[in-house]
This record gives sequence, C-alpha cells and structure tokens, in this order.
Amino acid sequence: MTVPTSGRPLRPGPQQLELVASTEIARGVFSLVLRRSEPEQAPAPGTFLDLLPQIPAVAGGAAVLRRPISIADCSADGRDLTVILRVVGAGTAALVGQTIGSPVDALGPLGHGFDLDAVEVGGRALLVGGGVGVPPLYLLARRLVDRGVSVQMRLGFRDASDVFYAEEFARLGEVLISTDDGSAGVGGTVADLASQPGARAFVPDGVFACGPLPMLRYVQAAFGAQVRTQLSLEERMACGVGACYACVVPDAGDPDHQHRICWDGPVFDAQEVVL
Amino acid sequence: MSAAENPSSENPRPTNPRLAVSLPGLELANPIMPASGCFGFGAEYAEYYDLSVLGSIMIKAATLEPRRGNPVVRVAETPSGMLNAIGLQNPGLDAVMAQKLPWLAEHFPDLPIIANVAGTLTEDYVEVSRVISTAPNVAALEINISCPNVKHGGITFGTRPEVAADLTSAIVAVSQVPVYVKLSPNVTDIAEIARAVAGAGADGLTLINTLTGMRLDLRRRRPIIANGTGGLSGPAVLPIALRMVDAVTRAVDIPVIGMGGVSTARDAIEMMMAGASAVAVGTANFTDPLACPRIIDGLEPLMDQVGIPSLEQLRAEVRSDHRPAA
Repeated sequence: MTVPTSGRPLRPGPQQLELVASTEIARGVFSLVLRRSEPEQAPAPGTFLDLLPQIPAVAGGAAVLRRPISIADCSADGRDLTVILRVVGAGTAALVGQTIGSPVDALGPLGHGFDLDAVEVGGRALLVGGGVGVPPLYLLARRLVDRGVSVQMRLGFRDASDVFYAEEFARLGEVLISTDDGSAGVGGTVADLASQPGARAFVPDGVFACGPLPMLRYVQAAFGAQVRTQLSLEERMACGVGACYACVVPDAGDPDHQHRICWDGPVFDAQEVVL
Repeated sequence: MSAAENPSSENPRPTNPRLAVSLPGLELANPIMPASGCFGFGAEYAEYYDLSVLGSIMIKAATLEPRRGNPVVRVAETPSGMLNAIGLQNPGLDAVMAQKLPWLAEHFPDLPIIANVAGTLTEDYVEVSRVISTAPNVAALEINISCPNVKHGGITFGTRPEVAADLTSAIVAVSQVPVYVKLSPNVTDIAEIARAVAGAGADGLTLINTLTGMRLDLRRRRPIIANGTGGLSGPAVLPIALRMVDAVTRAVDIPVIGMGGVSTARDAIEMMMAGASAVAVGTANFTDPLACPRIIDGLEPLMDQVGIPSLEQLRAEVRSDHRPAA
C-alpha cells in the first residue's frame, strides 16, 4: 500500500453498525441509535452518515443508493451515534423498520460540518432549524454550550405532531417554536419568530441553520450579510464522497463552478452559495 | 505510454500474469477500472484506497470549456439501479490538463489513464482529443458519443452509424494514443454502430453507456430528475450490457471494454465471458467506495473455482468462439 495522497490515514469503507434503538419521536420521524464496534472520535456537528437500506423485494428491492442522514447526537465515548430521519419512501421505511440488534450498513461520518469557532467563547449563537433539518443542530448546540457559547433555537415544524427534541433543546438554551398551523408555538414559519420578545433580545454573533430551501433562503437573506452565517444543505446524493457531482449548489463566487454538497459541504457559509 | 515504460516509477505495480490484460495502448495489471463519470478524477476515492491497484481509471468526461451541468435533482433511485442526469459537469480541458491529470501522474505514476472526451460539435471533440492525448499518463481515449443527458452532441453522434464513423475518423487522425468509442445502448442495432466505428479506425469500443429512463414524483406529478429523463445504470442493466457486449464482439474484431451493472467479481468474469476484454465498474462505486478493489480481490478465487487459468486465455477462448476462423 502506498502512502495515502492526502497524507491522512485512508478512510474506512462501509461499516456494519449495530442498531441499538429505534424510536418514533414525532409522527413519521424516527430516532435511530447506531453503535460502532469500538469507541471512536466523536463526529463533527453537521457531518452525516450514508446509510444503505435493505429494501424488501415487495417494496422495490435492492437499493444501490445510500441515504445521507445527519448525525444528531453522539455518546460520550463516541461509540453510539444518533440519527433522526423522516420516513419518506421505501428506503427510509426499511431503515427505521430494521430489527433492534441488526446491522446497519453505514459509510461515514462524511462531509464538512459546522465551524464552531465562528462564535467566540461567551458569544451568542442562533440556531435555526426546520423539520428534519433540526437534528444536526442538537449535537451542534451541545458542542457550542460545552464551549461556553449561549444558544437560542428557532425551530419550525408543520404542526404539533411533528415537533421533536423541544425538551432536549430547552436544556441547552431558549427554544422558540413555530408551526405552520399554529398548533404549537407561534403560527407561521421561523421567520415569524423574529418578532418574538426572546428573539428581539438575542443579537447573535453567529447563525447556524439547517432545513428546507425556503427557510435557508430566509436565513441567508436575514442574517448572511450581517453576521457569520452557516447553512447546512441537503440534496439527493449518489456517491456521498464527491465523485459523481449529483448534489451540487452554485458557487456565489464563480459562475463556472458548483460546490459538491456531500464533499465541500454539507455546511457552507451563506455567502458561498446561490440558493 | 504503458505503465511498464514509465521511468519515474518507484513502486512498480506487482504484475499477476493471470489477471494482466493487454489492449491497444493499455497494459493493464488487471481488467478492472472505474467507469467514467462514476469516479471523478480519482482524488476522492484515493481517500479510500490506493488507486494503483486498479487496472486503469476512466476519468470524468472533459469538454473544451468548463460545464456547469444540469440543474438538480440529478439522480433518482430505481429498482436495483439509479437514474442520473449530471450533464457532463467538468472543469474544462485546460483544468483537466493543468490539474487533474498531473495530480494522477504525481500520485499514481504507473497507472494508465483513459481520458473520456465529450463535446457538442465535431471540432470540440477533435480539439479535446488532440490536446488530452498528449498528456503523459493518458494511455487511451474514450470518446463519449453516447451521453443521454445533454441536449446537443453526445448521443446525437452515437445513434447514426455514418455520423459516428465520421467523428471517429476525425479523432483518430489527431490522437496520439489509441481511441476507444463509447457506445449507446439506446439504438435499434448496436452492432451496426460498432461496425461503422470500427471501420472508421477505432482501436476499441466501450459499452454500454446508460439507458434512457424516467421516474416521477407522485406529489409533484413531474419527473424526479430535473432534466426529465436520466440514464439508467446499476445491476438492473447488467443483462442488457451482457447481451450487447456479446452482439458487438461477434460483429467486430476490435476489443471491447464491457460495462453496465457490474458489482461483483462474478459479474466481471461474466462480462468477459460475454466477450469483453476488460471491465469497467460504475454505479457499484456509489454503493461501496471499495467496490473496485473488492472485485479485483475476488477475481482469482473465482477463476480457480470455474477453471480459468488466466484472463488472456479466457479472452482467446471467447474470441475464437465469437469469431471463428473462416
């Protein structure tokens, strides 16, 4: 074996992680705890696992594409990784339906996560999330609080039955919630939370966001020019490792160039991308 | 230039005569190579394994100018396969010559590279071929006349025999290295195209490119892929690829690099039994970044099981069966 070209150790290929828990934490949204064979370095917030579902023949059969799922939490020894996903098709249904104790084929952690140094110790970080874009913000919030950064979460969901992790986030900082139909928190979107007293009193030193495209556009426009703003993007991926160019986003600095979300991201500075 | 002639090699690749395959321009340590478009320019997968274990790399298509490619969504899953419509996104010929190929030459000096060439006009193909064939580590060209995902060029060259032949002869006239032409399965008779391209002087063929397909999003009631259609690949297309490699290798006398749904050593040997002289691996890289080394490692044990002394011997047997002496 020659020396890896990067000078870093070679990355591991797909690993079989043990599914140790699968819990429905909101309507159609599941939390999976995946155990690595031994303690490893904790993943950076914002990185993801690329999971290969075992789809039964009656539901479409063998999958060739992995499902990129953000890492939501990590045990103290780095061994147990929590991912949160919504069941949207045969692949995600197969993943959440696996038997406890069975192996889950996982590649990763992959991608470049959030830059925690964007907010200095003692500073204030605003975390904006929508739907299943919320999960990576949980590990991020934990790490920021560990660093001595105070956090405020503005989280948007469709309705009350979609809300998850509100109590967990509330242990880390102030949580403001919006729902499309007003059945929990404030009616509307996370943009409508800006007029809340708690939001007006919180002037952030850095903003971190993950969620649907309209939400990211709002965050980019509302904060991107004033304060360091990091956006975690999602897109359908094939390889997950930067080779196939399926998941791209236009580069704000070069009209001939597009970033690869899986490899250059999924986290980008708001000013780097055209949404 | 073949790997054996490369004077800068510090770690000559171990040669296993059972696996080695000799093709125009290509002295391959083994027949397995990643297919173009599924492996970028190698750097990403070099984070996972030593690329010098590969027979070759078919690098991502280069066009004269940089291309942004198609809008997202660019991929969708299908039963045992996937659709893609990337749209030939690439940094352009100059960047491939100045950065991508030198990077491969620096890190994997013994690895012969097959450069995939795409374009819109004949002149584009000819210019890219002329220039890229001068790169020291480019051992052969693969001419992409079969991309189903761009509006102009690509497949429009690959569906009409006389047009494919004219383009082939224009490229053969300027290339410094052997020219392989990548054929589309989206034709009535692939052997007819193969004959035309071989008659125009191609040194070899590669096939199959993807099959045009579509999937729809039920909520939006529109195609999932932004381009509307995409190219189908993955295990679902393996039997089609095998049938076409068989048909083409019975029709022409130039070597074929077979591809289409190969994910295991068994698939690769089957592709060679269908007539392929070497085998490219595409979609399987996405499911498993280590697919190519896994397939390479699986060849010899399988050859032992089914009684194949060497791949060259297998090639000779299949060839004499497909094209018996008159």
